[in-house]
Amino acid sequence: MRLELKHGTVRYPTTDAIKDVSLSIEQGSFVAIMGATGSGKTTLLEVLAGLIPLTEGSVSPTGFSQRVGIVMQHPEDQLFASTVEEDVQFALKRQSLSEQERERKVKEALDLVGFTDMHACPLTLSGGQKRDVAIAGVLVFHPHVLLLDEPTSGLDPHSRTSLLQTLAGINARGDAIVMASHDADAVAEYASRLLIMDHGKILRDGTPSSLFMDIEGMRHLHLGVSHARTIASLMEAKGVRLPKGIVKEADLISALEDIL
Amino acid sequence: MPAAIVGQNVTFSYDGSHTILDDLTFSIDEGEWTAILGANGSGKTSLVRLFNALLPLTSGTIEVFGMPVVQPKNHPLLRRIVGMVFQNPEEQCVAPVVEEDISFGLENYQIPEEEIEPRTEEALRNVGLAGFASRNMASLSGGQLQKVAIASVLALDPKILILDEATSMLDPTGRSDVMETLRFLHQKGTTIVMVTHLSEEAVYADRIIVLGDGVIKANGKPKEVLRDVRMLHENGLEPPLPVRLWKRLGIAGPAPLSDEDFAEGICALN
Amino acid sequence: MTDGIFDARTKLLCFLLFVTAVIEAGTLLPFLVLVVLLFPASRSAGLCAHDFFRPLASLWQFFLLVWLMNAFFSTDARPLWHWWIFNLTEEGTIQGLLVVLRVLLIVEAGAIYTASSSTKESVGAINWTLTPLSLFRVPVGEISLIIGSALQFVPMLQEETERIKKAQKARGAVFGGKNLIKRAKSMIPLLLPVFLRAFSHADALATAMEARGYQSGGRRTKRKHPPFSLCDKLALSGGMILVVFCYLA
Repeated sequence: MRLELKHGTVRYPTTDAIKDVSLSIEQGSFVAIMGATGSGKTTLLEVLAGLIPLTEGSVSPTGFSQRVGIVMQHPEDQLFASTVEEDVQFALKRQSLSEQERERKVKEALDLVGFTDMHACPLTLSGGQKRDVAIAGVLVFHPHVLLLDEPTSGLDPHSRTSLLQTLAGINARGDAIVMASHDADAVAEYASRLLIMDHGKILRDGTPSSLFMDIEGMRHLHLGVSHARTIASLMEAKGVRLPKGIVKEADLISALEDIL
Repeated sequence: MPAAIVGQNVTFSYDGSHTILDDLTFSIDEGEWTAILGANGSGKTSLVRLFNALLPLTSGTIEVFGMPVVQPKNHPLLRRIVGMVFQNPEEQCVAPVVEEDISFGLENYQIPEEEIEPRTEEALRNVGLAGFASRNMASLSGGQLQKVAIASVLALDPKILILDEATSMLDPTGRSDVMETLRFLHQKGTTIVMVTHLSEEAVYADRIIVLGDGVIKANGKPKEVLRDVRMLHENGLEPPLPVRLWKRLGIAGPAPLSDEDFAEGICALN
Repeated sequence: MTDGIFDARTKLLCFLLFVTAVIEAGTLLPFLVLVVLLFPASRSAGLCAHDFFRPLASLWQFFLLVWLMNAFFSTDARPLWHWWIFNLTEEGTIQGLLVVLRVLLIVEAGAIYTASSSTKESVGAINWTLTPLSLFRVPVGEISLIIGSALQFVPMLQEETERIKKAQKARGAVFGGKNLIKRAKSMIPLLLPVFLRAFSHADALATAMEARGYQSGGRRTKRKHPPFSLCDKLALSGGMILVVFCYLA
């Protein structure tokens, strides 16, 4: 299943949030989108999810009914039910399922995010736990494409790692992930494709290992690169010869092990 | 250096059943940059809110420049001396225009009207936002909003500046902007207390207090605290990348804390 | 505190005087005068035709209901038409029309006032106007603060509502429904989270205000107002003459 956006434009009275953007998301891919605030990342995700209408262009297949799911920023704000189970199963309301089927799907979704207490009250949970429950609420209808807007924002190291591993697991079972994020380390570690947005257009479309090479270019767009890449470039500047395209921690370690 | 904040046997609990902070003893010196490092739920936010009496002390004592925080009559002066900037840039905007937001605090302390404008201008200059006085808050980025929040606090001429995870909701540009402002203020002599869960941000500090499960797990200089990988992991924290790499590579000697020192260190070994 | 020709306080007082005049008006002539005055006022406030006619367009059902209630439920000895509890009277019809006209005039004047004054100006003007009440121990400063904060909350709440609506739609929520009960139930996933966000936002704001030394009922710097200009004095006199005229006519 491929999600295609063709010449998409979203026009507002004062500005174009996205301008003539064409993009296709392949089945099972892990795509990251980086861009300064106001570059149109959130609008692009909302268009791909079918939440806002395009002024021009088309996008398909999209929306809840086509199994395209989106987790927006601070998803914990969407929680409203009295138990975790009730909140997570909200997305299954319109499906005619048996009690057992419903419960099974809810449990599956909660297992994916690593949360077990089905009868807890969502509003009493910690920030990281709330986020997990909110994401489970989207995973429960098994989207084939999962869009996420800054999923790791505000999470402490432990919660962040746990969430990213959940996403990797979902991707491993064949579902596509499209993640807008400032977290360059997460992008380097997990994404196989990186899109850079600026002023409503896709400026660059490549891989983290190629695009993170241009540190100055990224800084010019108010973007950072992964920490491993920063260190690698510092060493290259001091004359250390390193293989090209080091953006991940593991790659940096292997390269350094070889040198020393 | 004289002590700015002294805490003895500090205990805090919201309802009496669940203890958030348990018998902490510590001291923060004037002019120091102290990082309070801890994972979510460690009690770090509650701790700093005891310093300006936003939360009531359950037991123990805290004195700010010799003033006990428990006495209500001290609270107005306390909140002037201890300025606090919070995590969410949008939720601490008191007014729609920058100069009104900054003058809010000044009006609370009955600063005479003729002093309000010059103090506002100076505060904005100190955070690198000169000329922003008549801008609408809605037109500012997250980093700029946080700098306005810092300016609002600076206008009151505080002795201590507390940042409660003030960079966690910002993008990389906003974050480095705010950190640069803090470094500038620290050089001018402001006492800074920075609450964070990122060890990278604690590298700049003069001292780090690590909180875990409501108790102090470590209290020392960055080069002691950030190299103790096991202690950091036990408390839900990650050491800075240079330290992680150094240890993974099994290199002897003290691990460098900053990227530059790491690069230097590797080159030296080569 | 002067934005444009008139002082913020003048604008507020003129609005209040206009409302008083509307209440006093009883016959056709004063109403005509009041309606005619709306046009130059809305022009100078920068209100375009679309915004000017919007209250009429969006409230027409309410106006119709008010008129019907007056027309059919007045007690009068000689009804034009009678059935069960409905009593159509000439007097009721005219009364209904006057009530609708009064509400419409006030709503329009309100729209003109809000278009002509910024939040800060309005709050400052309200604060000044209410000052005499502080002699009766009314917490004027706090009331102004509450009004100012509430006004700022409106755009924030609108944003939150939009955001949460999208998040719930993304997991299959449908808002609305055939009957009223179904519709109300479908709004819970929207209203409850927005409600919670509003409280959370209010709490964060209150904490930030406390941290910057705000004390409930405490004294704050008194900001001086510039004296009323000639334009202000003329406008205020005109307003008072209008009230007297409407009362007498």
